[in-house]
Amino acid sequence: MFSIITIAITGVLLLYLGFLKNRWIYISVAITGLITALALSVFSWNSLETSFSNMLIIDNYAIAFNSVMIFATILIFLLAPHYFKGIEKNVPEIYALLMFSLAGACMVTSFDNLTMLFIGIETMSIPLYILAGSKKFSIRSNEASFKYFIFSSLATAIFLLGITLVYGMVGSFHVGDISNYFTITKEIPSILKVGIVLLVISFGFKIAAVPFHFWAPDVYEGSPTLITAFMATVVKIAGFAAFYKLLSTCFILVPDSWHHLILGLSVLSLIIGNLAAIKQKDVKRMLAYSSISHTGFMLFAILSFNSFSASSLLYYSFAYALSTIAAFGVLMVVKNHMSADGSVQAFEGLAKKNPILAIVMTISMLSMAGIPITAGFFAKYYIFVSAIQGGWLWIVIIGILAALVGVAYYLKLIIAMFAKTSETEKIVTSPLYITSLLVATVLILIAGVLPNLIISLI
Amino acid sequence: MAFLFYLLSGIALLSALMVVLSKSPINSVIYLIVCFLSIAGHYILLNAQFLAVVHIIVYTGAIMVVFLFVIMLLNLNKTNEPHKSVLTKFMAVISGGMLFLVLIAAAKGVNEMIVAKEFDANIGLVANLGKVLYTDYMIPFEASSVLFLSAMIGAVMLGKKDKK
Repeated sequence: MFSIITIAITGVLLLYLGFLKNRWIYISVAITGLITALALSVFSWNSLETSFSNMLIIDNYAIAFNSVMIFATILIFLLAPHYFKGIEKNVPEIYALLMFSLAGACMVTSFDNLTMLFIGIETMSIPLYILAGSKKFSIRSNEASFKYFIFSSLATAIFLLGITLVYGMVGSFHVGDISNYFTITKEIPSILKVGIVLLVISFGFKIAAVPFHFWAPDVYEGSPTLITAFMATVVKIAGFAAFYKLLSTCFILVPDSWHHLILGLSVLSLIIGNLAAIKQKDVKRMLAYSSISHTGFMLFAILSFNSFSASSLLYYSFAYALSTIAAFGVLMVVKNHMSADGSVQAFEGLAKKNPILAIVMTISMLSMAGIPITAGFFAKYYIFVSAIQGGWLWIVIIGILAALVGVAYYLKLIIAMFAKTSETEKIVTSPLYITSLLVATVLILIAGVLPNLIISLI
Repeated sequence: MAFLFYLLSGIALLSALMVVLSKSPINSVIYLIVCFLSIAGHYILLNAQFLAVVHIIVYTGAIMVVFLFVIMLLNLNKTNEPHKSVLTKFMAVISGGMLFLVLIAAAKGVNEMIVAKEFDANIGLVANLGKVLYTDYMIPFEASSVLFLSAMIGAVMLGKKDKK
């Protein structure tokens, strides 16, 4: 609870600090606030907190996901001063909106009442509509903002209808009451099942699972790269944490209703995400499709509820966040400096003049592909183990095939960086920037060598 | 009461259909206002006076007037909708109809079910609503302030004229 308050207050503070017109003050205040929030979150470990008439429940599950999200935001903020170099307009507002969005994300993971879930999702999404369009003079950014707004509003409407139908049958918004209803009631009315299906559909929009993914590539491509990194990590992790929590606490006892849906979403995301990613020329678009395929993998955890799936989802989120931030971080500077369009060609020969960036990108790509000693390997391994324990062997086989297809396009980028020789210039970056990338990379390797640090948490 | 309910529902459904069917955007907006007013009537039937008044003030008063202004000022009152192919229309009808069918089928047996919660006629009065909002629903109420603040920042940020 205190970490959510800290994040929101830091956001308000940043708005006022905008008068000082000093970008180092913004960034230091933002990072201090985030580190305080992270510390508050971590120190409340094991102290179960249910506050204010069961609206929020801050258990270890919520704390673990909140900490991952706050940490990812810290890494993104470390990239920010370099990204906004030369742009003076609206920077404190953008930082404040990122903070508010993070506050919403932290509410989403710790909801204990569907009202709170709704408010959290909206608090998380509304700043993002603005942030996606924050490059005001770029038509692609405007398009991204509008598209995200329309799709996300539709998803919200579906979500509300779902909540309404559930409330109409159960008579309560409280998670505990809803799960009690299913232990008592044997014959579940079909309108309640429709409500659950609508909830699943709306979450499908939020986490960009096929066939609700159409907004994702355009929005990821059009938004400013820093915002895309935030969207692809924090928002997606929050969506998954909430989705998992909603289904595992409220609807776990509903027989044979949503499992088929999740199955379909997962398989389609794996197949279409990976196949579409191969054909992409633009790296940002490729990463968008790869994030759709990661959605497919992460849905395995929801498919196979057991004692292991929550921690495998956490580990996957952590690994995915680190490698995505590292990849987008490198993409950001390459796109700006090479005066290219961010296609794979822009990466050609990067290793010659910019070995650090090339190594960071390589490790992050290897981690996304799931090559051993990076975190991505154990992420996929644990999520497969969890699925096999749940009895979904044939899904795991599709997953392994999809991962193999994935290696192809990740390797394409690595080969472009190392093998191709073309004239490139040295990219100048700031120390904070390099720190963020190196922290992410080192953590990918540490988490890959010592997976028990995270997997045994929840 | 039952007659009023059916009358209001009929008006609401008819005007909602007309929103979609009418060619000119101005007519659509005016039908939408009629639709909102009849829904406000439903709230009054449920003794939810506060909700009814807020609904009229916010939706019909503020939002719809803004809609009208935007349509008139931007001169969008032309009927130049982009032509959609027959296939798209066919697919839209099929998928929309399927959703409709599922919802109708699911709602069919609702009357015979056990009522989850008895209707409390006093729940919609301002005093009770305020009490619930400031006790049980304190956190969502406070959290939505963050939401509105970010929406306001967005309006200022996107609406402000920046030089390139």
